[in-house]
Amino acid sequence: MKVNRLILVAAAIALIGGLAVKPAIAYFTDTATVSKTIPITLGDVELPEMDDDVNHMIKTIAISNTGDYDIFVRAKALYPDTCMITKQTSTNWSDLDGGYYYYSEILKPGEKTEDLNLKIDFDGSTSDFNVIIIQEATKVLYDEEGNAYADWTNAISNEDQVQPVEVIEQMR
Amino acid sequence: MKKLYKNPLIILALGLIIIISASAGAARAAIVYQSAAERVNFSTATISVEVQEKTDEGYVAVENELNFSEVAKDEKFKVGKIYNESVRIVNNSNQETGYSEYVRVVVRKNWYKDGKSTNLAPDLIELGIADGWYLNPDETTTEQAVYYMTTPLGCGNAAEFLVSVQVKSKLTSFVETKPYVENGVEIEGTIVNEYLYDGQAFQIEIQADAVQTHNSEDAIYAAWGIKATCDGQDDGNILTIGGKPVN
Repeated sequence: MKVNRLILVAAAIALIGGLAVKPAIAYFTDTATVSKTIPITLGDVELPEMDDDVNHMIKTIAISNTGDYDIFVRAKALYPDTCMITKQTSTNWSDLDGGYYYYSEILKPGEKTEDLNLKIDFDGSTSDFNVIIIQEATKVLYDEEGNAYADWTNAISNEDQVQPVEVIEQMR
Repeated sequence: MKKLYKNPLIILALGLIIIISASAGAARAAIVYQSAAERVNFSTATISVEVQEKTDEGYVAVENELNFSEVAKDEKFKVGKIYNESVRIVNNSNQETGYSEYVRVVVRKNWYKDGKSTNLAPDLIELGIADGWYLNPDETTTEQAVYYMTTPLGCGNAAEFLVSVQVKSKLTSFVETKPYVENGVEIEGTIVNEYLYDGQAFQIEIQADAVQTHNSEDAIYAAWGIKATCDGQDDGNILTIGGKPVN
């Protein structure tokens, strides 16, 4: 019984206090709240697909990003000493730099590079040789200022899929 | 007192009588000033604040969820990329009253996956704030930041607030290499990278608070619980917050 009375007293004070709060707020205020939730997915780059074709001694390649992340790509050609490779007009592909041709644009998922056209000249000493294209891809990274860059030390390559012995034999 | 304690209903009744009497007094005072010839309609002046963000159609008011139009253009959020967004705070008070207001913005950020991920670092979520806002270090943690606009925001005016959103690339360095397992069998010589932040979502909350500029210092203290000094009793510029100069 005593407890019930205490509860009743507390309830009465709370009610009166609650009613008295609003007149006590003397300053005008307002609040607006908004929010946003954005998911993050992280993973490794997949080796992109490459179209590879030779026509009239022009080797044409194009690389497609079939993965889930933005990538940079580069390519290099392996060929015997008896022939020479010269880059033809190829939009967004750099000239030979350290053995590689670099594609200057970020390749988004589903996108494909412009064609890289390589002209093949050979001295005629052999009629049986092969020009092999090594393609590499690396995920687009951003520096502190938000500028995109490539870390080629973490690139993935199809070089492991090309047997060195086979290459040499093909080149001969 | 003992008698009152034994009859708590008396306390309730007395309290209600006091409040009702006070309300009746205020109402009666209003009626005294009314007459058939001089009738004035009035309403209590209020202030209001709104959050707006820039879209392809211009600035739009945000009710609950931000859109982040630049982020929305990418299929997936790109870690490290700086997304230029534009979120502003607007004094949308009644134009007839024309009241200015002080504005502060509380920003909260955290990681979320099936609940708040308290073990991950909110400071990897980088929000670019426009010039002109004072960040109060005493109220700031890795998860929360409180920014004050040090000049009154005029009625109908807008103040640019958020200018960019970025998740730092450092986040991709939290990776663990494990053997690749297929159908319960470990594939020898094959590894997979497991990223700590993969599958997480980051949450941003922007809370804009406004308070009147009349009796500025008292109003700020009463509304936000922080001591401020201003260069005028009404509509002054804020000089210090929490005892620290804002400039």
